[in-house]
Amino acid sequence: MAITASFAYAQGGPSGAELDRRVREVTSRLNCPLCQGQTLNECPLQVCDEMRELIRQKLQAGENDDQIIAYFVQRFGDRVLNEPPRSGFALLGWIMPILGTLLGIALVTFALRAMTRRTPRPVAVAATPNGAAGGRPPAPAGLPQEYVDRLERELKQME
Amino acid sequence: MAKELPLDTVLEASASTARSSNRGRIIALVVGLILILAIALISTLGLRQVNTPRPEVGQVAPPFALTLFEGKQTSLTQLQGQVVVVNFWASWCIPCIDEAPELEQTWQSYRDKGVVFLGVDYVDTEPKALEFLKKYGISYSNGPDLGSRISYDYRIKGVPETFVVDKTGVVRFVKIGPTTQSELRSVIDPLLKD
Repeated sequence: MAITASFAYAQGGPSGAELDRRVREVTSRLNCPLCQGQTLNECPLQVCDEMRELIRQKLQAGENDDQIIAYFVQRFGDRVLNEPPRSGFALLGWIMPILGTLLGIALVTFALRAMTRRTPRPVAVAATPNGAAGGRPPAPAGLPQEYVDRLERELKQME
Repeated sequence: MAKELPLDTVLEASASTARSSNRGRIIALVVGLILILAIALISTLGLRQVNTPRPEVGQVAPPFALTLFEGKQTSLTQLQGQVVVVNFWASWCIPCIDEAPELEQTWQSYRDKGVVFLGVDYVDTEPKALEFLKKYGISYSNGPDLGSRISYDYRIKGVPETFVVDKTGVVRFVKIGPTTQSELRSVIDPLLKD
């Protein structure tokens, strides 16, 4: 055990539980190049087992996470990354959710402002000797005539 | 009973509602158009490559460069004028084990007749790939498919898969699954006479 530990130390990499944790960390950042949506950490394929072992050896040899991930990208392409890269076309994958959220916030803000403006305000109406109907401004366009007639009728009934 | 509002108030409120509603519609339309344009842009850029068809017999073979395991570089363009057998394989692929001696024997009988064999190692680890080549005595050029670019361009469905390219760079044979010596001979012989 002591020999193994000193060998690993000599190579500059972690060992034991720390090594296991680092292997899990790196393999969680990588996808199985053959399966859809499965990380290298959980894929049961033999080739993924071999890749986990390769990652273990590279960590023991003192390579850092980014170096190992760069090696896998060089070998298998961007699709091996669990998260899309933050460059090139894949950058859209990062930008679009932020853009979508900002657009959503803008929409809600506009909607709330529009709703606030809808609150009825008291309108000054000049009194006329003939009653309410005579001095009223014309009904705005778009208001159904049926509704205007009903209001007029009910107001007359109140008088 | 609810207190009734004066008609003017109701009318003013209705007009205000109509104006707000129109503004909301315009905003929604603009936002919707931006989203549609963004999705169309992403789809166009993303699908442009996906729609590239698989090379079939009679079509020009997609050009590629292969970095061999020993570090040398070769490319399909460099090999024009020779018949090229491109074999996609992997160390974890069981049918590739059966195919390996067939390919090696065929290579041995054609190596001095203007035929080049290239092994493209698909999704593999280098130590296991080299172990496989040594174990099955493969002596023709082999290299990893860096970035899986070659297998992507050839749209392979799996491994093993073999393409035979004639002297002018046109695909003359495609085999999905393990190929055999007799199958390869029947394709290569006529191509050498051309």
